[in-house]
Amino acid sequence: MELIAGESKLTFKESESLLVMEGSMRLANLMEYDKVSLFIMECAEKSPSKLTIDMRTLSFLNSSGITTLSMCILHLKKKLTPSLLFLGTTDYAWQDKSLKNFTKLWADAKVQID
Amino acid sequence: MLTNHTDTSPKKDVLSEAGELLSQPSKNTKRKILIAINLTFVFVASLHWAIQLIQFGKLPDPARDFIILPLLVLINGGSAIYNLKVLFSDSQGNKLFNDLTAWVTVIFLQLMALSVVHNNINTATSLLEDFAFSAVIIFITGTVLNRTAAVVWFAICLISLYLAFHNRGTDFEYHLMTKQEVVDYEAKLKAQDPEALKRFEITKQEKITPLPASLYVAVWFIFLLLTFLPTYFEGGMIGQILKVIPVVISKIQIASEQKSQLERENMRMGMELDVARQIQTMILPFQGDFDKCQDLEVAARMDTATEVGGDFYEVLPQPDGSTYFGIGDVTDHGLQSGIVMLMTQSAIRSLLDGGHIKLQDALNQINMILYRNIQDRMNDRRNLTLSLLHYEEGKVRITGQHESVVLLRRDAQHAIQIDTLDLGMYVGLTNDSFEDFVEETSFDFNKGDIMLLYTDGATEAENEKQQLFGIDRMMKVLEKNRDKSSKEIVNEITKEIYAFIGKKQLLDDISLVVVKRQSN
Repeated sequence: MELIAGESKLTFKESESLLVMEGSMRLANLMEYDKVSLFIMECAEKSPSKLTIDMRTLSFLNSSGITTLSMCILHLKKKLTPSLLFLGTTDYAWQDKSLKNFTKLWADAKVQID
Repeated sequence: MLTNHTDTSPKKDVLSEAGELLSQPSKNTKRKILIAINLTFVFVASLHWAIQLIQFGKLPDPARDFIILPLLVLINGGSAIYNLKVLFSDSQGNKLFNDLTAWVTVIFLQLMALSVVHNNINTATSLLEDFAFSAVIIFITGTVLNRTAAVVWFAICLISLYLAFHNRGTDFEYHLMTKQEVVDYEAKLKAQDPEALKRFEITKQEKITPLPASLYVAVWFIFLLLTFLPTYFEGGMIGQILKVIPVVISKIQIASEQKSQLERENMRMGMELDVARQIQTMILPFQGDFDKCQDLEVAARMDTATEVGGDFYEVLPQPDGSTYFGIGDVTDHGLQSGIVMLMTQSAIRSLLDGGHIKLQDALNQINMILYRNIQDRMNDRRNLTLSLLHYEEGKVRITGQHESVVLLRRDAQHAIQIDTLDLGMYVGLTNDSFEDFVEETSFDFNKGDIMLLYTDGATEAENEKQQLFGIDRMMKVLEKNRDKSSKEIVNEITKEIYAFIGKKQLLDDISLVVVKRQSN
């Protein structure tokens, strides 16, 4: 399963419950992020216990994108499943801050930064 | 809310489509007229040869049958083949050949007319044919070539008619015979009556040989056909234009409706943008507030991007000599972001201004107020990063997560960053355990120290090579201009950012607040 959003691409490998986000995601507003939100929630549906979101090749995510991901986390928190694991990197400044906030939103959202 | 408005612009230029529709029927009409005339002449020449061969068993007039008519067939056939080819290939053809075929057809027709009228065996048919040729030539020149050509040819035809009439003799009269006189004359001719034979010779010489009515009918039919065919195509064009006109009118109506709808939409969006921009800037603190800050020299500046963003800053001097600061950035942009910013400002002011509430408690309450208003009332997902600061007697306390606070101490060579990451969470996003993440920290703010608050529009300002201005570059500008006034520092940083992005448009608002602890 794949989704192209502006200059970024989301690829879901169902067998590994792995969602890879790559490129630079700067969609114009929250409404434009609806398709991203739907895609992530669909990936969550198809992941039985844990969904891994690999952002190590995502160079940029604007604040509307961070809000969208935050809303997905809050939504999954209510459902309790699947738990989340974010893979990040110190190469991109935005990741450290944003990924830390994700764990604040839901304790079952884990972050692993290389 | 400001949404992208791609759907409001017409997908196709209906006005130009209307123009195309109008020009369609006339596109090949001239060519069709020419082809019709060319083919008619080829047909008439062939018919003439066939009749001669059937009637006489040979072609009697060598000049006409072996020179003029083959030339007529060659020219008209060539023109017809060329123009048919262009017509079916749906192209515009070659301009030189387009003109050449039209002119050669017309000129040859004129030569035919002249030869008929001045070199014909019978005065009656010559005048009839001359008239018919002239009518057809004028029609072709007028429709295929142009009006001036038609006028010129009208004059040529008149001269030709005058010459023919003059040569015939202006005193010439037609004398008709009764039926009985014809029967008697033909009987005498059959009987080889010398008087009758002599008369026949004279009529031949004077070119008044009696001709059968069927010949007149044939000439009449051929020339009527020549007139009918071009008229048919011209008439078809008129019919098509008439049919197309209502469609064109409705297209134009659609276009004008779309245009006015677009104008209304633009006006509405313009007004919304205007309101959003006003909301964003009208509530910002100004010089009067800065001047009231004791111990501090404050300057602030906000540069808004084309699309109104959600930057926010606040400076609230207190009667006790302390000052509250706030800086934040609302997600997304547009009117709704402006409203969130407005609510944030109101909440901060009502909680902090003149009150004695702890910074952390204020932030928790602001989160609750905003969460309820944004999620429950506005049914929206916007949230903001927000840091609240309180300067009091040489100390700054800070809470809430936003960008870092840049601090340049008087005696330090380089500026440092005070991280706010662990001081809070996105405000207005959730009411669930928000307070668990709200922390407070503090730092000394001594005489001559400089504090810089900013939004990500400054550090993430992007140039054409997609490079970001970045925090390091901004801190260097601050260090370089540390001896200038707060206002000058703010302006220098802004100037450097604009120089960095070059021709690229500002993508996000830039907000800068510079606070200097006065030395004396």
